[in-house]
Order: sequence, then C-alpha cells, then structure tokens
Amino acid sequence: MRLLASALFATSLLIAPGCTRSESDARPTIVASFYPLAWAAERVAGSGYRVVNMTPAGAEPHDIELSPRDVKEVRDAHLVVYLSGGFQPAVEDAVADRDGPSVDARGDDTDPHVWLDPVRFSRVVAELGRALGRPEAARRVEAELRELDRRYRVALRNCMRSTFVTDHAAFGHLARRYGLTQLALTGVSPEAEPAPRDVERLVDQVKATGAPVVFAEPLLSNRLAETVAREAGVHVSSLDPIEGLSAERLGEGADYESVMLDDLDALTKALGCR
Amino acid sequence: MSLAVLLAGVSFGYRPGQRVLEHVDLQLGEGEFVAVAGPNGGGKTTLMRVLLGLERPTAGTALLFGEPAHRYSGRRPLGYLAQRSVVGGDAPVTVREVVTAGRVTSRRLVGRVTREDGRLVADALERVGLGAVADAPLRTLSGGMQQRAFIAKALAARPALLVLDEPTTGVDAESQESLAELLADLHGELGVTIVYVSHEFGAVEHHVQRIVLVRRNIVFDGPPHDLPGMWHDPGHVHVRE
Amino acid sequence: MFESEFMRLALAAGAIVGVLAPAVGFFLVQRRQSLVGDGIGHVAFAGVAAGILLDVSPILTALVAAVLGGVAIELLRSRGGAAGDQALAIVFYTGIALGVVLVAEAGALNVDLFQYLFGSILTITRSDLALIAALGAAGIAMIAVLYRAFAAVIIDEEGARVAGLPIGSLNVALAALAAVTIALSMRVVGILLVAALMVLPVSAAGRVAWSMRSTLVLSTAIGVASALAGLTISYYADLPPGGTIVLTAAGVYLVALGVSAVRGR
Repeated sequence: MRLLASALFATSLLIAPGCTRSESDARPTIVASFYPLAWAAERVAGSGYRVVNMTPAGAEPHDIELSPRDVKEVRDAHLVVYLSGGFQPAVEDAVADRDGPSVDARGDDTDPHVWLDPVRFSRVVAELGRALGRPEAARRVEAELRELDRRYRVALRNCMRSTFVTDHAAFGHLARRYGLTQLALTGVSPEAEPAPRDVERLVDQVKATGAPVVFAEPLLSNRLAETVAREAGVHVSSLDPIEGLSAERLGEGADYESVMLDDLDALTKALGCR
Repeated sequence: MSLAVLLAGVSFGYRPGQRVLEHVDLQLGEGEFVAVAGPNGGGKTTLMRVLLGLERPTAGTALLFGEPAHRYSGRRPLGYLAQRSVVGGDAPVTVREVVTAGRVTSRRLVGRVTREDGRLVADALERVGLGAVADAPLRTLSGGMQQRAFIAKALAARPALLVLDEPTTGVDAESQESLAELLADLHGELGVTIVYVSHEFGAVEHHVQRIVLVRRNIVFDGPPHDLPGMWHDPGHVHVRE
Repeated sequence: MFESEFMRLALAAGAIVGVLAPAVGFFLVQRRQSLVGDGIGHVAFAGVAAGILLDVSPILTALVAAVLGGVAIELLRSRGGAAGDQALAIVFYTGIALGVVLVAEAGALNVDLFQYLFGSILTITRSDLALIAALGAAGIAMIAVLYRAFAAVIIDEEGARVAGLPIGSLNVALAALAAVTIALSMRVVGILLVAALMVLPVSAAGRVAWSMRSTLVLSTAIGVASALAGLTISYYADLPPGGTIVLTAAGVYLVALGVSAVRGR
C-alpha cells in the first residue's frame, strides 16, 4: 500500500511540480520558495491570498529546479518571499526577472536557516506584514513566535550539556540564540564523503561532548550520522530543520510550530535539561 | 558403413528469399576423409554450419549421426575449426589451456580438470607435435603452429567428426603440407571422419579419397582423379544447369 | 586504523569487491562486452533513483534493476543483426533517459546521490557487509564453477557452440554476474568508477601474466591489493577512499605497463 502511495506520489511529482490553479480561484498569488516561508506567508496573508510553495512537499529545497510554469508563476505573482544567497539559485534568477515586490528572508546572515530562530524569523514576518499591508496579522504571528521563543528559553535554561551533534550545520541560528553549541558532521549542506580520519575525528569529538545522541534530519539519508553514532556508541535521533514537511506529516496536522516544539523536546532530552 | 552426415534436399538462406544453398544432397560415411572446395562465397562455410547444426535448413533434412543436426545431443563428439581469426581477447593463453578447453562439452560443462582430461590433452598435444611448447603462450607461436593447437583442441574431445574450415589461412606452404600430412595420419590412426574445407585444396588432394565442389549446390562429388582438369582452378567452376 | 569498526568494515567490503569486480571484468573484457557493463551501470543508477523515490533500499532496487537490465541487454545483443542492434540501442538510451528523469526527481527529494556516484565505503554497516559478503561469495562461487565454460567460449566461440555449450545462457549468466558486481561495487567506489575497478586490474594482469588462469588470478590479487592499499593510503593521507582505490589500481597498471615494456613485450 505504501508502495502504491509512493508510486502515485512520485508520479505526481513528475506531472505537476507546484500547484495547479483551478479556474475559479481569482485571488492574488504569493509565491513562497519553500515551506517555512510559505507557513509565514499563509499566516500573515490570510484567506485573501493564494500561497504557493515552490518546493514540493517532502522535497529538499536546496538547489531546486523550476519548470517553465514555475518561473511564470514567480514572475506573475503578487508577491514573492524567498531566500537569496545561493540557497535556491533558480528561484533567485526567476525573481530577478520579475517586476513587483519581493521579500528576501536572508538579511545579512551567512547561514540560511534563519527560520529556526523564532526571534530572527519574526523579522521576516514583520517584513511580510509591511509588504502585504497587513500589520495586524503580522503582529499576531510575531506574538506566536515570541511565545515559541519563551518556551525555548525556559526549557533550555538548566541543562547538563550545552553541545548537541547534528549531521549538517542547520541549527547555527538556533544554537546562538539559546547559548548552545552545535557540532556538525558536515557543513551547511550535505557534502561529499569525508576521509577516514575525518570520520574518526568526528567520532572523538562526539564522544568528548558526552552527547547521548546524534541528530539527523528526516528528509535525507543519514549514513554518515549512523556510522559516527555507531562508532561513538550512541544512537541517531531526528531533529528537523524544517526545510520542508512531507505530505504525510502535513496530513497529520504538523506545521512549523509543532515541529519546532518537537525539536525542542528532542533537544532537551539530548542536553539533559530539567 | 554408417553415415556421419546426411543432407537431403537442403536449402538455406540467411534472409528470406536468399539462396545460399539450394537442393543440396550430401552423404558422408563414418571414417571418410573428404575435401570440400568451391569458390569464395559459394556456400562452403554455410554448408558446414548447416551440417554441424549451427544453422537450420530452410528446406530439407540435415542429420548428424542419425539425429537432426540442430538438436544434436552430442552423443558422438564433434570438432570444428571455424574460419578464423585469432583467439578472442588479449589475455595470454597457453597452448595447453587452448587444448584443455576442448574437453568442455555440453555433457561436461562444469567440473575440474580430471586426470583423464590431462591425459587426453597431453595425448592430443603429442599428436600434433606441440608437446614441447605446451605451456607457451599461443601468440608466441607461428600461424601454422597455432592452427595445430586448435586441431589438438578438437582432438582432445575425441571427435567422431572433425570439420576444418580454411585451415590454411595465414599458414605458409610448407606448414600447409605438414598440416595435410598430420590430418592424414590422424585419419589413418584414429579413423576420424574429416571434412577439409578450402577454396584451394592442393595440399590435401593426394590424401583425400573424395572431393566435393560446392557452389550453391553440389557441383561435383567424386574421387580427385575424376575431377576434370579445368576445375582444378575453382574460378572456372560452373553451375550445372 | 583498525581500531575503528567502520574501517574494519570498509576493508572487508573492499577486499570482497576487490576480488569480485576484476574477476567478472576479466570475462567481460575478454568477450569485448564492455558495452554490457556500461549499460548495466546506467540502469543500476536508475535503479538507485527508483529506490529513493519509492522509499525502498536503493541498493536492492539497484540490484534488481541491474540484473533485469543486464539480462535484457544481453538477450537483445545476442539477437544480433540490425534489428537486435536497434532494439539494444533503444533499451540502452531509454534506460539512460529514464535514469536521468528518475534521478532528477530523486534529486528533488534530494537524498545525497553523490554517495551512489562516488561510493560510500566508510558508511557500510554490518548488515551491508553481510549482504556484500553473501552476494560476493555467491558470485565468486559461480565464477569458479563456470570458469572452464566461460574460458572455452572465449578461446573458441564457434568451437564451443559445436560442442553444444549453451552460449546464450552463459552470456546471460555473465550479464547477471556483472549486474550483481556493479550493484555491490557501487558502495565501494561508486557508479562512475565501477568500470575502472573491473577493468584496470585485468589490464594490468594481462601485461605480465603468462596464461589465462594466471591472468584471472593476478587480476583478483591486484584488485584486492588495490582496495586494501587504497583504503590504507586514503586513511593516512586523508583522501576520499573510493577514488584512492581506483588511483591505486591505475598505479599498479602503470607499473605493469613499465614491467612489460622493459621485458620488451
């Protein structure tokens, strides 16, 4: 059954990347280049807008390709919210070709994962509110993010350890915000296989932190994380950088906030917080 | 005398409508030493392939030791030196390895080299006079000696029927003579049925009892001394109307 | 180096593939059937992409795809003639195109395809090794059993045919062996370098060996040595292991080339 569902899912990816517009939907479109931005856009824009996520559910947004139809959608949209700086070059190119407002979530940050820090993410929400002329809605979302931030701060206040291990360096913003240290097995995006002694060094580092778990993100294969974890005598657990959510999880009602809370739960366990 | 080969009304073409062979009737008795000759492109090789069961006749019957040739069970071993060529691949292969390969048949496809295998291989090598160079790589030998290696390979299977197609390609005149004598000796000693196919049969003419000329069908079939003088030059062979 | 389990697993996997790949490559090269190996490699990669899309173990789907593809390619190739060639070309290019599309879609899911292209020997698990060992042993056993038959076909195909050898079935068996080998070798050196591991040790051995059997034995010896030495070098020199293994094999080939030149062959 799962095989059939996956086959249909795969076929749908082939046939229709991006959403199809029904004839009767006359609302203005906001194009968001991947999930967290789409989440924010939906909350701020409300039902008067149609929000389109350029990255299909469950796909990794990094380096996505855009079909000609996608490019047209970007060009014609009322507003585009995206992340510049090489995260999704195809989207950047499409945005450059467009006249019309856009919101760039990148700011000055070198690490693209800005949405994992609720306070930093608030700035994107605020800018969305300005661009859409919906300051009230934006403030409501910012309040939710502040609450998220509060819960993080409280939960992570009293912990035995401050270092957590991830398979790639997605959580820099989060770590900085809450005074934690992220030990990443690879860089900002999944990389080539390291050399043998690099693996050994990582294992030693993991052991040195005393971390009971190596975190890996759900969307990617985690061979390196599993190998390092096995050598270090710890297990692998999921920490979601929320670059996208699979159709399954969206169907279960998961969203940015719920996953951030799941991640908080995983972190508090790994760091031994009271 | 029982028949090694029976071809009756055999016609064959590689493509529909093509007539490489037409209405061929041929009988080879066991223990005969026959030369098959004819112009290039006249169908000699094709005739051998049909005879050996490598191709199925489009019309007529081809029997090998009484069985349909293309479904031959291998009851009596066969030997075939195809018109060739060199041994496939660039791997160095020793003479002994070539001859030992002759021990592999459909009836003995897997299994290690037995003592019996070794004995028959050594025997075959001696017969063709390659005993001294058995462990030399094949490519270090002359054309004539390489051919002997392949003859030894065919012999190792103890064939009841041995077909050689253009065995003199790349072999100098003197070696051709000694090759013909070797075959004659084998024929005399072992009673193997030998079919020697060549577009020119001067070397074996004195050793064979029978010559068959092929040009789409059998144009001549009889003892060498019956062969009209002008037909010694195969370029002058006419199709009988 | 031996203290880390992942290195021990890598060395074991490398050794097994180091024996199997050249052994199978030996027959492919002698039969001038590198096209079959090429085609299988592409089909295997399409199989990986299919496995990723379907959330099934990619090495398993690669294996299935490789075997089916290899057998199909072999059956079409042996049909011979223009029709056989055309059909083969169609399957070949359709396979590659399918692979491109599937890979693009799998790339949309962005699992790290890099590891399938270039190998991931350092992340081999114990169960991976068990599979590699089992299939590797089966493959080597099959070669041992069929060696004389394969050799007979290489030495004299027409003669083998007349002797009643099932040439078609042997070719299919070889294609299946090649498929399994490629699927396994994918973990060690990646799809892009599989052919190198199958061919380089064979070419090296062919330069200095003195018989067919010694060529085969030497090929596998060089294969194992390249894998083990390559891994060791990558360890101490901090280099990617898959590429280092193949470079080591290339180095051995150059040495063999030099030796044969000196000998005057």
